Parts: sequence; C-alpha cells; structure tokens
Amino acid sequence: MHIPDGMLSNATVAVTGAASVGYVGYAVAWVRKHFDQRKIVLMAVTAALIFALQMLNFPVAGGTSGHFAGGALAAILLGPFAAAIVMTTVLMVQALVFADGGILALGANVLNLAVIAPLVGWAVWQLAQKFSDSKSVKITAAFAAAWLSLMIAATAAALEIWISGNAQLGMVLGAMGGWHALIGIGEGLVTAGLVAYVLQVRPDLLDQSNKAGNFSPRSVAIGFGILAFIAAGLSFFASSSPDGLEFVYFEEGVGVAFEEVSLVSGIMPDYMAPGLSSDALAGILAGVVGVIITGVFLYALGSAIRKRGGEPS
Amino acid sequence: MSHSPELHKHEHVHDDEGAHRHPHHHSHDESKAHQHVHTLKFERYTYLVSPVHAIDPRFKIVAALLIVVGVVAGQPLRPLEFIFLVFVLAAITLLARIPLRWTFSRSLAVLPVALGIALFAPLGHADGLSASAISEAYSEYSWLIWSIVSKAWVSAYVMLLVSSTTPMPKLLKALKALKMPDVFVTMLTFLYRFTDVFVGQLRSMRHAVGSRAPELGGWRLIRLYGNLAGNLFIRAYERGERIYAAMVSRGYTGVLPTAEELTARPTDWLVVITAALMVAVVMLY
Repeated sequence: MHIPDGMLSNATVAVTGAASVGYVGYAVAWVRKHFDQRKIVLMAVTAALIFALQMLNFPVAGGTSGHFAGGALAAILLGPFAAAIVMTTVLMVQALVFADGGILALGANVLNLAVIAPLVGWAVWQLAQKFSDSKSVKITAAFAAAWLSLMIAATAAALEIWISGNAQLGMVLGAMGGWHALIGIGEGLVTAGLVAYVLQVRPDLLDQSNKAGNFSPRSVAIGFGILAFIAAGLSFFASSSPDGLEFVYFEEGVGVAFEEVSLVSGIMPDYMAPGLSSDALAGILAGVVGVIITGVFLYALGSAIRKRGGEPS
Repeated sequence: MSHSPELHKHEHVHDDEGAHRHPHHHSHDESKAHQHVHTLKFERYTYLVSPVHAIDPRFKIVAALLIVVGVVAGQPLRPLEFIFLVFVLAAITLLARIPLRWTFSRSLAVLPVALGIALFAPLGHADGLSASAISEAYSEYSWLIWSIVSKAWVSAYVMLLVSSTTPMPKLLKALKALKMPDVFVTMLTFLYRFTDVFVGQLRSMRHAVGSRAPELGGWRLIRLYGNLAGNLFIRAYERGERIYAAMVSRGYTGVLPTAEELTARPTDWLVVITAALMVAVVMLY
C-alpha cells in the first residue's frame, strides 16, 4: 500500500504532493484553531498508539500477513483533520526510518492514507451516527468505515500508479482491490473491536472526539475541492503525457546500456492502458470530478436546508 | 557492556549489540555510564562518532533530499550510474562505521512492494492480453522493472543512511529548523518516546493471552484482540492525560524544548555541494 519511490511519474508526484501539502496545511491550521495544548498532547499519544498497533500483524491469505493501517480509527477517535496529521506523521516515520514508502511518493501516500482514508472512514462513521444511536450499529459502522477507507485508499493508490504509466488499470485495480479487501477485514475487525471496547468502558471518549471533530460544511467543501483539484490536475498531466520524455530518452539511443531491450523505433507508444483512448481517460476523470463537485453541492444544500429547518423561526 | 579497540574511547557496545557514544562529561566515570536513555533498535548506530555523524543534520537532510530527488525524478538509472551510486553510498556507510549488512538488510524492506508492482509494470504496455502481446511487452519494457526497483532502493537507502547516522533528538531539531510545523514536531517526539512503550504493553498483553488461553481461536480470539486494542487505547489516553499534567507542571507552553544545539560548519556546506554535484554527475553523465 505504501508506494515506494520510482513508481510514480514526476507529474503525479507534483500533483499529489501539492494536494497533500495543501490539505495537511489546512489541517494544521484547523487543529491549531480548535485544539488546545492538552488535546494536542492526547492526539500525539494516540499517534504513538496507532503506530504501535501497526505492529499487530494478522495473517492474510497464502501465508502472507497484513498490518493495521489505522486511518479510519484515527478519524473516528479524533476527527478527519487531526487524523490527517496523525497519519501523516506515521507515514513520515515509516518513510524515513523503515524504508516503507518513498520520499517523493510521500505526497501520494499521504493523500491515500492520511487524507482519503480518514475522510472516507469519518464519512461512514458519521453517516451511521445519524442513522442510529445503537451500539451494534456503531460497531458495524466502525468495521465498514475501516474496510471501506482501506479499499478506497488502495483504489486511489492503484489509480496513481496507473496514471503514472506503470501498470495496467484493470490489473492494478484488481490486485490492489483484491488484496486490500482481505487486509481490510483485519483492519475492520481491529477497528470495530477497539470501538466496541471503548463504547463499553469509556463511551465519553468517542462522544468527545465527535464534538472535537465536528466541522462545518465549508471545511468539507474545502476537502472535496482539494480532491477535485487533484483529479483535475492528474487528468491534465495524464493527457499531456509528460512521461514521453523517458521514451525519447531511450529512443534517441542515450540509454546505450539498454540498447538490447530498448524500444522499437517508430511510433512512440502512448502512455495509456490498451483499449483506453485519451478521450476515455478524460471521461473517467471528468466523471470523478463531477461526482466530487456534485457531492459538495449536495452536502452544502443539505446542510443549508437542515440549518434553516433547525432554526426556530 | 564491553570496550573493543576499534571503538572510539567514548563508545561501548551493549550485550544486545547496540553501540553508544557517551557525552564527554561522564564517559570516564563508570558509575555514571548509564545516565542515558536506552536507544531503540533502529537507532542502534546513531550515537557513534564519525564524520558522517558529525554533519549538521539540517545539511544532511537537504543533501539526502537532493540525491533522492535527482535520482528518482531523473531518467531511469543506467547500470553504471547505479554502480556509482552503490559505491558512494557504501563508502558513506563505511565512513559512518555502520556495518554494511545492517543498513543493506534494512533497505531491502522496500523490495516486496516495489518488486510486487514493478513486475507487472511492463504489462501496462501490452497490446491486449494474448501470450504473444505479453511476451512482447516484457521483452521491450523489462527496463521498467529495473527502473522502478533501482530508484526505490536508492531512495530508501539514502533515507536510511540519514536516520541511522543522526540521533533522533537532533533529527527533530533539524526538522524544526527546516520549518516543519510545531504540531508535527510534537507528534514525532511523542511517536519516538511512546511507540516503544505501547509496543511493550502490547507484547506483554499478548504474552498474557498466550499463557492463559493458548488454545483460544476463531471468533473469541478476534474479540479478545479487539478488547486488547481498546484496552491499550484507553490506557494510552489516560496516560496521555497524566503526561500532559506532568508536562504542564514542568513549564510546557506548547513548544517542546530541546537540549541539542545545531551549529553549521563550513564543511556542512561542502556536503550539500558535493551531493548536488553527485546528482549532477548522475543526471548529466
């Protein structure tokens, strides 16, 4: 799941990096404004705990094992913005000290695991809260939040690798999706188990974090806006295919050492998966952007209506 | 604890093979020899005395980033460039007096993920999924595998070199000096200080489970692990409240103080310039 260096094209690195810096910068400002020092210390301890829980390996299929990621859990406990900071810190340590995830790919990894995963987990968790207040619903929601957040983060990672021209879309989506559907079960079980225990022993902690994490439609709009920006940026870069440079490099014979394996002379192959024209690609990305923008509008509309309805007139 | 001839006079090796350097003021006093915090496994060699350890961490980070950006953002590495980089990195490791085997085996952690995805990279260029198309894609694009894996490895090794030649407090101070927001420095400090504590708690809880319910399995084991994680969270949270009270009583104002002072020497600039030149050599060669 942690994308190493060398796998993403420079354009993808730039776009995901800019998006992550923007979002995490906003999260820092948000936490500074809404959290007092005590809360920040508790957040830091939670970060250390999540890092420790990542040492919990659980067996997945075929003798391999997966480990806990914790994006959804952080969001449930702290809210999406604090979770973004916690997860970013964990990813920094993993990249710097444990060779897990690249340095230039840090932007993409932050985007997947510190931005998207907590946002998805948080959304599922909040949705379930509105739906029902029963304990079993909450535990199920925690499981669903963790599983879904991991799946969507893995999908995002797959898309980034695909846009960078380093994998076939169907294959990378299938591999990442299938693998993380399994790991997600472990992730979901740990998250649900933790939430169940906390609900039983100190339910006030979860209520507290819900309040602390409550945010206005404006900030949700900003979050989605950034995601839309990324999608748009990636589609722009993908369509202008900047990685043609690499091909020119080999074609011109500069890469002498690779001569035996170098490209066929002639037409430069496009950096597209087979069967997908650039029109189709643009269509997919436009769809993604459209979905996000629609989501923002619906949310803004919904909250405006709710506000008006809730106000005693 | 032992002293061997090849160690600096302020260094010693522990039974767990961890080596430490002691600050000069108590290094000759055996009774005071253990007034330092015991280091974690990954920082086993960060307290040695060497030219690499002596580089100002700010400059070390910048130099490392230059190399990583140059290598990763550049063209695929040709074998000669890769060999050049391997030699330079190995030389730096030896200069830092760190066993090559140690950094090398740790850098291999990058391989499963990198190789796992890279092996399928040529398929992205296959013209359909027929056997001939696939074999054609592999014969033409196998350099993609090499490109991804070599870049991933160099990047991982460079960052490992930084983190295994810089004591964590200095690294944190340097990140702060490089304008990392305070909240991240606080997070990183806590991660450094408490992760090991929680891992220890987790381990002892697992031992307890193993000794009391060795044959527990299936659903009940899963529930138990959930409770275990939840219990750990509540203990951590309540511990956090106590930690905060202790910090406030010691004058915490929201910014963590550090004892380390960073002083840049002219040679530190030389390190950055050398790194830039090295990248230039690799990129322009």
